[in-house]
Amino acid sequence: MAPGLRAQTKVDTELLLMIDVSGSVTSKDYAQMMDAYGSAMTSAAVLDAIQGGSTGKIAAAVAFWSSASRQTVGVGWMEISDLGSARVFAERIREVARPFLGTTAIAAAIDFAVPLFGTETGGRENGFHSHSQIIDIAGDGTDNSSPPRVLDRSVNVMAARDNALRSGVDMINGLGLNTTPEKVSDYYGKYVIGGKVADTPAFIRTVDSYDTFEEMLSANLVAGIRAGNLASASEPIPEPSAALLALPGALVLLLHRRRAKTHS
Amino acid sequence: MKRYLCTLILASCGIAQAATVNFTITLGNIVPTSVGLTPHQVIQGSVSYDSSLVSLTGDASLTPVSDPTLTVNLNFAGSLYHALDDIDPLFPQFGFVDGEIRAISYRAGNKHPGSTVDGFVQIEGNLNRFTYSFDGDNEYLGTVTWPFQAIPEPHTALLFAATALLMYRRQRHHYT
Repeated sequence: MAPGLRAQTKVDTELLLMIDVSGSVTSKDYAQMMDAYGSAMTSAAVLDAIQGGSTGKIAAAVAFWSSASRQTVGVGWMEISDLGSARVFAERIREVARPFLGTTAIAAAIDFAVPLFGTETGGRENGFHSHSQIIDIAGDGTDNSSPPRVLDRSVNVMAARDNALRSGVDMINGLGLNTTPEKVSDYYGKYVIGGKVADTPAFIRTVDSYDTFEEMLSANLVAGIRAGNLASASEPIPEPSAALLALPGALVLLLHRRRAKTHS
Repeated sequence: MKRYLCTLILASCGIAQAATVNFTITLGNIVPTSVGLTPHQVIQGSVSYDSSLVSLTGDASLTPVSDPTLTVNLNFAGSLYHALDDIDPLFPQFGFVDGEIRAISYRAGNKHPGSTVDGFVQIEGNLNRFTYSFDGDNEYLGTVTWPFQAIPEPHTALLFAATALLMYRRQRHHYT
């Protein structure tokens, strides 16, 4: 292996947790959410799902988002295969300080998420390789600031979703927080979620208060991880670029040897 | 008299017709009380436009470029907000379906004295969402309620009145 290149760890699923930290999410809501993420990741249901895959491990990361220019990785990619590694991941989630507040730019958040999966989505190597690149995005609002400014920014969200799916993200699942009379979950269902993994179509779960967030989050994580397990079990990991690179290399070697033989 | 009314009706068709739509905003349960707002406070506002520019069938949109008469009036947190306060000269934009207003994009800088440059007041999309912030960080929500029914302005009202009068006179003539 060339120096500087990291080995890719084969996992069943790469799961990116995208968390809305826009200004409508209060400090109390944020604390509750982080606690829920930590608890869900170490729950028996999620660990069972992780260990049910062919490799028995997933890679997970957390990213925060709000306004069009405000996104950041909160917890980098980590391998989770057992209670120990899940606890480390959960501790990091609970420890991470809220990076910012701001408005709600879902399209910009999805754009930010795409390359984080690494080579599968055209980004920089993230150390993991899997069949399924899944985004699980939680939010309490509709997009109000992703550029360009148009009459209804839901078209920007749909465009970002479709682009993500074209770029190699397999599934975007949602967790809509209906904390206002407006049905955010309907919006997420229509414009945010998309794609499928192993014939499991993208899904949205609804939460009416942060008190029930953990329960719905766990259900979302389990469903996503199980879909990833099915995909992982059914197909070998394709490596088209490596195969393409090997083929001309072999041809060149063959030609070289034949030429050498005819000359001798 | 009949001829006069007919002329009036014909004259009324083909000229600009201002339509006003009133809306209400109900603030959420979390509000910045330091600027005088109260939870669930109800705020009145209105938009107006030239309805003769809006097709009665299909989708249409108006901007300050296509309709220079387009206005927004909102009294919020002690300040009056108008169409000209939008941060983009090509906005606000109003969207219509079958002649009725169904979407709006209005984003003004927050004019409250305590607001920073990042503050904003926004009504956007067709989802009845009102968003505002005094610092660009802490975002607050409200719900916009639209009647989705244009209130007839003088020209339209005149047209209705003239038609009603004509019908009344015809009916009376018929009975005599």
